[in-house]
Amino acid sequence: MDLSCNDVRNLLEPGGSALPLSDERAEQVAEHLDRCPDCDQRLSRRVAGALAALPVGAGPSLPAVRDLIRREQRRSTLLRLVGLAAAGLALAGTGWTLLRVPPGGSAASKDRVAPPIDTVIPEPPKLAELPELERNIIRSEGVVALYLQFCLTCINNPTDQDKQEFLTRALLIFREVRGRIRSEFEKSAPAPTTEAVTLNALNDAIRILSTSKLASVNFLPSKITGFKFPTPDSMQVDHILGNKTWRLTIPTLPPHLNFAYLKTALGANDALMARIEESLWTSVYVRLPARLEDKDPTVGPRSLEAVLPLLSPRQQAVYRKLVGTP
Amino acid sequence: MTLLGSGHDEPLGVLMSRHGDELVRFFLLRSRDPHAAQDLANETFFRIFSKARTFEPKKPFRPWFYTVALNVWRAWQRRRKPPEVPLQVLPEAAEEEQAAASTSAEEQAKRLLERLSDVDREILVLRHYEGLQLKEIAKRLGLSPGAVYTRLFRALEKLREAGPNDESV
Repeated sequence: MDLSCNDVRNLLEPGGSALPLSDERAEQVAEHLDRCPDCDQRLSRRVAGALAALPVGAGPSLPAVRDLIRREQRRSTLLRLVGLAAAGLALAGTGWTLLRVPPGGSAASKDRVAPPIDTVIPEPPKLAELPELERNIIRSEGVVALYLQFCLTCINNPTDQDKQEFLTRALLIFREVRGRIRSEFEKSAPAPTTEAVTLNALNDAIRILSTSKLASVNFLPSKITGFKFPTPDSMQVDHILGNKTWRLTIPTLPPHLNFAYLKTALGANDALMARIEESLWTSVYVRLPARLEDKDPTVGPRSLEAVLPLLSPRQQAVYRKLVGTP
Repeated sequence: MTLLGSGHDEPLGVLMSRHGDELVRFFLLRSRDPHAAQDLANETFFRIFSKARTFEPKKPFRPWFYTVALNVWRAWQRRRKPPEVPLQVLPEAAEEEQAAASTSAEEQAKRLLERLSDVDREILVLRHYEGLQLKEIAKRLGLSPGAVYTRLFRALEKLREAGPNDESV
């Protein structure tokens, strides 16, 4: 039986005489309310009236909000001052470098033409030529970095804010886990295989990650059951996602994106490496597993864009060689 | 809003008097914590001030305002850690009774909200603040429209029975 507006309005009257309604009747009322704007508006007024009766103790406070605004303004001013100071220092440093006379310099030396940079730039070291310990650490760290980025994109559809927060957390987790990778390689005797250390590191990473879930990044692998390098240029991870075990096979990180390798190749100190990591992590690294798989041609140029501004001319030349750009 | 966008905070007072209480209720329904609701409302007005330039005057104010509030709420949820209460500071039973006897508005609001389930409160928020129809709420919560209506009506009755009766249709 169809309900008339009068029937529904009677049901909406305060007093509760309408309840309990049968399921069928309730569906009819709901359907009527969704169809009839007048009755729907009555319901809205009823809801607004009921909520207005909810006592509000202290409302929002203008002085408190003004205080928040002042604090934010102070913070911005401070950041601006720090930025200006940093720019000033950089300018002073550049000026000093340009103006100072080289030690032992003479008029003759001024006339001497400086050799072009690329003639004095050493070739970046080949991975195979590095000591075994360093080589293992580079390979293992590269896997963890890439896998953490995979976690962000596996099934997840993060909001921009969550994506930002995930990236920040993931970088901190990566830094924590790489400390463990190094100590595991250094301490264990007999020396463990790279694959065993990497498997432990991956499990450490997802365990830490799962302790602070984000609302829109809730599909994370629960365990890594196997890891290997099937070829020198690819990595294979067996992981449990949901109740199933899946196998992920993707290309490994190219050297110009591998932090441990970059540290050696560029001769970078920890502070510079931290800046390089942050710059790459929040730009080229995002969706990197998929980009590598698709052989995305923008990876090289974007890496240059992210890293070159942080480097000295000599390091820039080395990095260009690594990326394969003249 | 134009004034706010140009960095003047005077209009905040006007906005607060128009929307402040309703905003606190929005956060009360979500958090059930009057103190948190007030802090969140303050933070929302701060964000409104900071983001005033992003408001497009041709668009309605209310949806934009509550989107900002919803973002503040989500950020608060992410920041919030589970409370750790040492055993020795847990209140004795007598203190609980004393607290229940308190007649402050906060306590009254708390008691009212405790009578509503999480789903009931969510339905109230979706209906009143997001302006959704019953079938849209049903879809969002995985209930039938009839069940949404029944729950909504019961929630309204609980609020009416427990609170001051000044509502009218």
